[in-house]
Amino acid sequence: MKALGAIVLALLAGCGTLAAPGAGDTDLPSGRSGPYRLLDSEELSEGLCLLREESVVLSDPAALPLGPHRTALYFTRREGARRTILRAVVVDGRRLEAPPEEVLAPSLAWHGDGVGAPDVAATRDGFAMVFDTAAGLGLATSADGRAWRSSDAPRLTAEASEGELTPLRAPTLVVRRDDSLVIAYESAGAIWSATATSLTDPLRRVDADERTPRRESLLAPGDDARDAGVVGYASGAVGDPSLRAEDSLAGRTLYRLFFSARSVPFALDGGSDFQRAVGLAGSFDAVHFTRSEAAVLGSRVDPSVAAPSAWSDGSLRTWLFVSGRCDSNGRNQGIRVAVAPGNRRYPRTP
Amino acid sequence: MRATALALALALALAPAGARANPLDMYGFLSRSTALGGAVTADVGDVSAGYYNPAGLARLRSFRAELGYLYTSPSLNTDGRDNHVDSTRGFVGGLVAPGRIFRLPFAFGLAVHVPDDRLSQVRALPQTQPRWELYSVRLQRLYIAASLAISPWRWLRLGGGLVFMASTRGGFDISGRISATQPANSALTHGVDADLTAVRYLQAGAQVDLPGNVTLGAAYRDEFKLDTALDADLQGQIVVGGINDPRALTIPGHYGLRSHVMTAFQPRQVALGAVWRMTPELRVMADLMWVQWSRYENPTASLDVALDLTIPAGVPGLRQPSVPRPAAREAMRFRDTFVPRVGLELTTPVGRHSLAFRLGYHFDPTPVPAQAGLTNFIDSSRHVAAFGLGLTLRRLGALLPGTVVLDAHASMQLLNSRSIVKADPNDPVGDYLASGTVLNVGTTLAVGFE
Repeated sequence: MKALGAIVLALLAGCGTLAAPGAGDTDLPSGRSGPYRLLDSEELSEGLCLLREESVVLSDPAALPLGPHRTALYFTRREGARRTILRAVVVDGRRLEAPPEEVLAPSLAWHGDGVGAPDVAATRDGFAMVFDTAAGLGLATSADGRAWRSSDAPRLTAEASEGELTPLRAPTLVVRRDDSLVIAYESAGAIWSATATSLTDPLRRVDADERTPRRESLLAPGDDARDAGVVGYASGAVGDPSLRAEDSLAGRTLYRLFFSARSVPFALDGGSDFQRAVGLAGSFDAVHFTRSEAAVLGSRVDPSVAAPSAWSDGSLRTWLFVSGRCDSNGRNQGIRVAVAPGNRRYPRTP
Repeated sequence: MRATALALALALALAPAGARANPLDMYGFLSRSTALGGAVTADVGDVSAGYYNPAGLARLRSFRAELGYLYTSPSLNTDGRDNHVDSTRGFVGGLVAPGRIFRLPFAFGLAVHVPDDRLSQVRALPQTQPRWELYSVRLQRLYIAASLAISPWRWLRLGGGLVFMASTRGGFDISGRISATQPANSALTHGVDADLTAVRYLQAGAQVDLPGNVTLGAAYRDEFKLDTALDADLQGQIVVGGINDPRALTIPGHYGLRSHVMTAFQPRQVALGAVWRMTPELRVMADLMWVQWSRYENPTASLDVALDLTIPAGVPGLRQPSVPRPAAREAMRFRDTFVPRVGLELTTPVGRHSLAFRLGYHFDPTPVPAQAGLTNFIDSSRHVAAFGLGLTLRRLGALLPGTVVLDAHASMQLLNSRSIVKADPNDPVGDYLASGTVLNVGTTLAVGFE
């Protein structure tokens, strides 16, 4: 009976556990579709912006992952009419590792007054950058991501017969494993694309719907200008594309396209205006995209948010770098940071 | 018979308090049956018969009480990240009180699983949120079953029982006057009306002894659904101005909310089994169970909201706000499954005592279809391998002339890797890979009186 009592006591002692919090919803998969929340001056040491400079406009960020916690950030610096491309390294989405450095400036005749709106991708031999100039879209290559060599001439210029009624701007690129590349860009309030079999081969324009007589864009303004009394967030124009390819563990490649969106003008108190937002579209083939029904980042906090570029830091958290206001009146424009999930606040960076 | 009467009284006292849903389907009940892969429909003859096959209770000829503990450690992952699904753990046990009715062997059994961290858990999640549907909340349940068995002939045993469940219906009423400009001055009365109703489901079974040391068994467990409903009604007047000012603008209105959520579901189950006692020391057993998952309903809450304001004529710019349309709930389309189970038990005498080695295996095909649309009910087919030991001590002394049995088990669930691919490239969750393991260990102490 002593042995029996000891066994029962051991059983009871082993069962003295406390209630655990309900769980099962930790680290769940996410399509990175937000909604995103802009970090504020309580979370960043430099105020509202991660990158800012007095009397200078910083814009068009493009993230290039360097590791689980570091990303290079390429962006445009505009002082007067002159535009150059700078590079910074951002740690944990919110902190600069070192002051930004200039990596590409107008040096060739076709560059005109400036180069800007960069996007960078890793290639087999190093890195490739696309950028825009007044003359068209350029391509540069680099072995280390810091010293760049520009193409001798624009790689793509606007063709009105192809639907490109305004200069091409804000290019983005994806380099696939077979070295082929996809470039998306903005023209006439829509997003278009072109492909090439390698960095040196000529670009061929893509028609997103070959059943129609005219060339169709990848993404056009929505036809939801007034849907049930609500103005569609992308009903006016779309632009500033940022294209990324992701291989899911389920074995498929998914193309995600973040973009700037503008609504059609609608009545506001004392006049009419449009609203800006950041949208997201997805595709399995980089040609046919489905746009999110709602914006992933609205303009309630900052009415000038634009030019998004997303970076996942290895966790399920995604950082979104955007152009935006660094002060309340919008005189100083810089690079802001948004994050999803946005339900957690961060301590101010040192 | 005194023991039987005591047990019956205990059951009657406990049963209306109610049990809910069923972690036993997922992890088994008591160590011996779990170690044999649950393939015991034809072989069960202890307290676990209260769950596996009530007919097995009639095998016992003396009072028996069992107490044990179950602990599980799930490691369920999406895209390689642990989702930290809750562990299921708690006390298990029960009793069997045999006797005779009209000279026929008869037994009453009580089977209990009591979680030691929460007796019940309800979570309402949007249907788009990924969740391990068959784990987590579904297994945080109290289970109590009361069964009876009789053996009209030596070769036949019949049993049946009831499991009691609780269902909740609640109402919340508010009436009065609401001041739009001075909310603190609102004059409201409210009433709460909650109703706890019992839900019962039936279980029944039979065991037939055949020549050649073979026994066949069949068991049936009925379906149950546990619904939770909550209604709210707000009837009154919105007053713009002083709450007692007769000149204030008064807007009569009604706001009604009807919510309904299925918080638990157990599919109907039919199990057929056989055991062959090849030698006095060795027995092998097999089961095949049909599980009617196809009647599983979407557990997402349905919500109906109605707003009716009577806005007085002549008030410009005031319109009744539109009420959001409830989200359409996707059909679940779960599939019925067949679960094969096998077990083996080898008993070795050790003096007047004995030691048993047990092995078991079962394969549970997942009932959850491809999740290409909005829903993200995660699950995958699972292989379950089990191992156990049982030490039976006999005639320990004058105080305990019967037997003491100490059983222990360990089993491992291995979930196949499953790719979830979405039809919409802009899906808010996207593609992902689900996989995982669940370790299940436990022990049971049984005391049999002569």
